[in-house]
Amino acid sequence: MKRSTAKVQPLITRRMDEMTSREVELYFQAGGDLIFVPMGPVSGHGAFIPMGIHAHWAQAISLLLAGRANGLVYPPVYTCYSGATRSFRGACSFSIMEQTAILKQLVRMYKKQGFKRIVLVAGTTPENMAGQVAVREYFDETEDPIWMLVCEQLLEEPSIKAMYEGYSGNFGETLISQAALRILGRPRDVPYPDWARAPKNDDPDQPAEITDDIGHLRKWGTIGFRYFEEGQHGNHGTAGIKHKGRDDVELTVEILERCADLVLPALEHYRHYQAWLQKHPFAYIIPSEKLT
Amino acid sequence: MQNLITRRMDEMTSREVEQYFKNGGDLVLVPFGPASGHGGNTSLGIHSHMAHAFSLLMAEKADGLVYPPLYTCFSGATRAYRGSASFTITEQVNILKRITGIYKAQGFRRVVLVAGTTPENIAAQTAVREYFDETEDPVWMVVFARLLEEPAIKEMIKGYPGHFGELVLDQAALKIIGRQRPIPYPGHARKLRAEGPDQPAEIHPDIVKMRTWGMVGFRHHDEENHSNHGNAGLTFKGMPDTDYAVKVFEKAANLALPALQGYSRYLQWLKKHPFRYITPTERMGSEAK
Repeated sequence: MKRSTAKVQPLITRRMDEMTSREVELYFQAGGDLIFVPMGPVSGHGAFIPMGIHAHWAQAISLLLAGRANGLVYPPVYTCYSGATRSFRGACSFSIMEQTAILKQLVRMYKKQGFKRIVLVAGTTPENMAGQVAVREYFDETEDPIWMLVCEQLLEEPSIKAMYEGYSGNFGETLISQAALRILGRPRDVPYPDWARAPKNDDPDQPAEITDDIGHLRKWGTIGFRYFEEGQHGNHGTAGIKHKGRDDVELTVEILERCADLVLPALEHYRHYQAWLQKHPFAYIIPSEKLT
Repeated sequence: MQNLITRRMDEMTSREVEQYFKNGGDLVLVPFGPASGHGGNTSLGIHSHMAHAFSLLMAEKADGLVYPPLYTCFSGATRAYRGSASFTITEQVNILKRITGIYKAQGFRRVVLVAGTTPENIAAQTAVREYFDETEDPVWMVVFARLLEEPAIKEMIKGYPGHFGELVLDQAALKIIGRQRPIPYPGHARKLRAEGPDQPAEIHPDIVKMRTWGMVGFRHHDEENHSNHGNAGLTFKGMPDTDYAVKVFEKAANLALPALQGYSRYLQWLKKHPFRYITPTERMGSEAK
């Protein structure tokens, strides 16, 4: 596949809200065509993790990617579906359809302005649900693909797993949130640092009386659910532990940077797919194979 | 006043929000403004930056929390600037009403929608009126730009040797938010310039006439129709004007504080005066004797 020859422009910031409209215009004139739209709800995560963790994660990855791939970053969209966390005070859940409409509207506007590549960036679930609806619907309406990247899926890559293999705590959202806030320039201390350092068991996310029921129903499909106690969606992660002699938050910053490196080739796949689609406009499928 | 590590809700844990409630907190501020084109020197997020900065100052002074800034707003006439992202007024209304509904249900008695200026205030005034008519529970929208019209603020900026407008306010807001950036064209930003019309010369009188008695749809056609006129980088009263503008934000927040108490009183009063149809109470001379 042909790699992009577009240079990374030395911009003073890639956060669109902090750029002037002239800087955006000049970015276009110099060949820029890529925008990231990070998203995630304000959602409850208990004692250690800020409510914006999903959006922080998505924004941090978006900024790292934008710096590497010459993109711009729309300010994080918090008007997202937060699902089961709505019983945490502070959480603010939009319906999946509302989030879909918002994402599609942003996509339409920026496509019209000339952004050829639009990447919706979800931290994890459940904001990815509306993301996938928007991606599929927009494509069916326009034949012009947008891509949704889910940051959590990157943690499953073998090279990423190898980076935190043997970590003595629970490598999860507590660390991710600390690292993301550091990348965003908004670090904050972990509340209850001693507790955050202590190893913990990952308890079920539902009350004991219904854990088995929910487990069975989830196994073959989806069922509506929410959280009833803080510990069902929080308080299990760790941070503040040394791993191979290193600060675990520092290691997680490096992991997020590595995630961005891994994604870079996929942006070229996205470009290639778009170019291919332009040469292959929609046509009804006709029989082409002899079946006799 | 609670001693919180941060008042930005997205950076707080849900436990911290719960404790804020247990300690008597009841106030959330929702800053909003679109990504909208402002030319060579002012950032696209200026309206939201102003609202966010003002909200953070208000939250500190009035023991409130701040929802993350909402950019999914109507940007109106700036849609011809690349980078702008304009939502319809109806879409913005629904988003604001949704946030209000959620936080009212959670127990935030006082929900304050904070607009930087116009046109994002158009949807908010609709949201405020509709939400009240549907629930009898008032939310308040405060428009930061209107505070700049207060005599105490006007007095502060009197004698500024340039145009004290969105450019220097953007710089100050970004400083308060902790995201300061250099002015792209500092030499240009220091020069005093006349403020030109916001429409091309051929149609300017037509638009002005129609605006005089009402409203007409419009947009900007050239960069200078909506930008490049403000100043920043000057010294005023012995200090950089950006630092001075930070003081203006602080003063504006101080001025708005009593209105928050008025909002609390209004809420209490309404509880004691539930909705009822109005009946005649005043003799007008024609009643039967």
